[in-house]
Amino acid sequence: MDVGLALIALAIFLLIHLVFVNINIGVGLFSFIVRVKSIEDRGLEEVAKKAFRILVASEFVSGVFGTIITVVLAGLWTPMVNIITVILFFPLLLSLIGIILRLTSIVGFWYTWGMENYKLHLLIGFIMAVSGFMIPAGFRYIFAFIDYPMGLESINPVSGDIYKAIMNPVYPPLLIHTWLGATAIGLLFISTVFAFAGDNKVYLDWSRWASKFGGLATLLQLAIGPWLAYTLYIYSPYMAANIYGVILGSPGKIMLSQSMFLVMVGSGLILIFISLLYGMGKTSRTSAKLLAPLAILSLIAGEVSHDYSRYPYMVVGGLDGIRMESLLNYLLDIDSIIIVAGLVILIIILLVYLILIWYIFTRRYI
Amino acid sequence: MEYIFVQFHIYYFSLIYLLIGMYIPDISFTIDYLSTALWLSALGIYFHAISITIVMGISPLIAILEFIGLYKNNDLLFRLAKKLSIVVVVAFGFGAATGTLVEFGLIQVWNTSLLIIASFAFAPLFFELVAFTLEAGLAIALVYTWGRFRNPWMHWLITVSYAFGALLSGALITSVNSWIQVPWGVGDLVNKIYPWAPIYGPQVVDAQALLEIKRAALRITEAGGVFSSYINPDVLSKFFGEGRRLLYDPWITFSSPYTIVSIYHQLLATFIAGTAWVLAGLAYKILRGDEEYIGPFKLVASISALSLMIQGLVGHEMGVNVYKYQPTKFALLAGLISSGPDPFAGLTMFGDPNYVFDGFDRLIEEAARGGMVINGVNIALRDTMAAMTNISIIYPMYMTKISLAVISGLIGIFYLICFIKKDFLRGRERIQFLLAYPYAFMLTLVPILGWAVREIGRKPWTIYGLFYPEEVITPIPISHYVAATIIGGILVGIVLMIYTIYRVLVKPPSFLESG
Repeated sequence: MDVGLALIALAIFLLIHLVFVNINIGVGLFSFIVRVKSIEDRGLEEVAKKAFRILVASEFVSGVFGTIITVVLAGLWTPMVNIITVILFFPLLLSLIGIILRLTSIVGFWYTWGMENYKLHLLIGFIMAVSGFMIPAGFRYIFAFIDYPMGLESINPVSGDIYKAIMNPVYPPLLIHTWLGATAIGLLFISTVFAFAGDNKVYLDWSRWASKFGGLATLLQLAIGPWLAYTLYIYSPYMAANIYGVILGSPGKIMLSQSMFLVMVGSGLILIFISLLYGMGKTSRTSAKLLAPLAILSLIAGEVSHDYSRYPYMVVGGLDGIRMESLLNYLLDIDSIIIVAGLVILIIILLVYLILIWYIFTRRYI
Repeated sequence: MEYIFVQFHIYYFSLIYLLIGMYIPDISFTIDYLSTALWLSALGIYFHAISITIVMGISPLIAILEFIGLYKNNDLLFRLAKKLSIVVVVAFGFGAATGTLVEFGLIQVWNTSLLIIASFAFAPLFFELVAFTLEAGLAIALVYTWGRFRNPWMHWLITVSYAFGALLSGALITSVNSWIQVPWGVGDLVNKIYPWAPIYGPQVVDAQALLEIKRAALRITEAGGVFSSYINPDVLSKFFGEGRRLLYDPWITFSSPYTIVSIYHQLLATFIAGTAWVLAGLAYKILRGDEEYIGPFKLVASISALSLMIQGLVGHEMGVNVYKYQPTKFALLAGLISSGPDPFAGLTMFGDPNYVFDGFDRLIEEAARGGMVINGVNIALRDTMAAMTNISIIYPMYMTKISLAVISGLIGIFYLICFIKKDFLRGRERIQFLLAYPYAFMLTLVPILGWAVREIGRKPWTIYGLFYPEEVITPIPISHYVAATIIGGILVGIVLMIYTIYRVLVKPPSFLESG
């Protein structure tokens, strides 16, 4: 198994998954907030419903790609998954509970819309919105762990302190950064969609509202950035040098991480500027076209910058770590063509799906 | 500055630790977590089975109803197919949730299964991703494009593709389960340990490495350790690397005769259960005075009954394969503590009611004579005797299953006679609708019992003849809290699913009516 191909497969699936997951989390929160507001103004119910339909459509993608990542990780990066499932048993359980609550509450929220007992509907909606944030609360432990493997005591046999692993110092800034990012991306995505949802002023008003709060969340994310940077500097200096080297004046070896970091910060700053101006009604809705693409660009750049900074290690411990190739699956020879074919087929299905969804939405079938 | 920063983290996490300390298992409080894990897994799989039975069982039926509805211009069948499609998509959503639970359960709770996922199960699971993606991608289109195409056959194509995705997904998952029932591709490896075992196909594994892994697993677990901790880069690189691999043919799972029969058997079982549930629903409507559903009732009952007849033949093939490849399970099913004839099995399999089948007496004798001794223990003898202890569970369970299947088959024949001979009931037509309830009930119990027989019947192994549950389990104890959380999550999910399906059937939201 070629390490490059295994890495590319994981990266592509992960990025697709993360884009849709972030959209889902933010849109779920937005839909719930508008649904609460609709108690006083029944006209808003349709706005909440429309946002929720977008969530359902993208949840299918994120859910499917989440499953794909699990199989790819277990199939291609077998020893790594074993280490993670042992040391991070409880964080994974937290995500699992989040997934179950999220999926069941999405279906429940969708099909109980219009019921007489609106309080029950709101309760299901609350579970739906909150459980979205629970999922990264567990999975971000994996990222924190491979940045700084706190709790890992031995590789052979795999053993560690599962309590200590929960106290990983990289986790809090990483999680808060993620939560804010997901809120921002979801809100900015819905802002773009609603800006062009028709000539209805209600949608335009909510588009501006989403843009304003999405911009504020991005601003907060930017404020959290130094905390995350300093944490990495202390606990994972190898990664810190690779990501922030240019700024610190001591560039690390990985230029891709550093340039992607600059892309992330640059796009984030432009995003804050445009979103706040549009949100405050200072610019026309044409500017909203930029919000979703910039938010997604910023997400991808940030994720590539962070994850690629570990290279050539998969798990970084201080200034070195566990090399990627030692965590690969050597139990069988997987033909590269199988992986490439799988990648291509799945991406084609995704594109067909997105076209189908676009068609269904533009024809107002749902 | 750095000191303050680090101290901050320590205090911060001490607080979190205190807050969640209740949840973290106290090792002294843990129970026998192997049996807890087994029960949890069984529970998770059974609840997952409810939703997959709806999805896999009903989606082909929707394709048939829609086809006939379009072909005969029958609006009622068309509407019925549409309503069922909503139920299927609701169940799909919940199935995805419980499926995630089962998936994580496999990887998290049964860590050593990673060795299988990364070798024998890799190809089926990788292709299952395509099937699952197809299914998920078409789910929304299935529900929301009813009546939207100029050419209605376009929607039928979506339904057929969706059903294909669902069935393919089921077939591929069944192939993985079949491999752990019959580890095809290990050649005579199991036979070397257990002399009564057959040859499991060509040897496409590094048998020496697998045997070494087996020895190491036994040594570690018998010393009180947990084997899954040894799936790490250091250990794996000792066995594999430099061209040495565990498996040399990733496609081997698909060539197992046991897998092929299992796929037909499982898919038919879910289809029959799905049709039986729809039949019970139609009977309910008819008995409440909605007589327009009599036509669809007859159609679904005929499809269900015919499928049940075919299942009889496939079930026979399944039995033949169990006899060939799982001697201990066959002895359990036939209740053969001592070797002897089983008139029905002998007649159907060999045309000889007096054919003498091997019972546990002969299996034990063979194991004692030529079983492999590992770490000073004849594990063949020990395990064969351990398998025999399940006879008091499996034999009655299997007999109950067969009896219920036969009674259901008789109801199916009764339906066919009623529909062929129009005056058969002479004004007592109500009977056929009332019979739909026990029919659905029994055809729910049959696959439940069948799956239990399939799974418990392969014990004491997780992978037949190769690994035990204790060699596969996680080193992290499953506490009461964890078990309660998972069970609670499953129950909440199931209650929500049933409630949602009830709502969409009884009082669908307006956007579904118009969609």
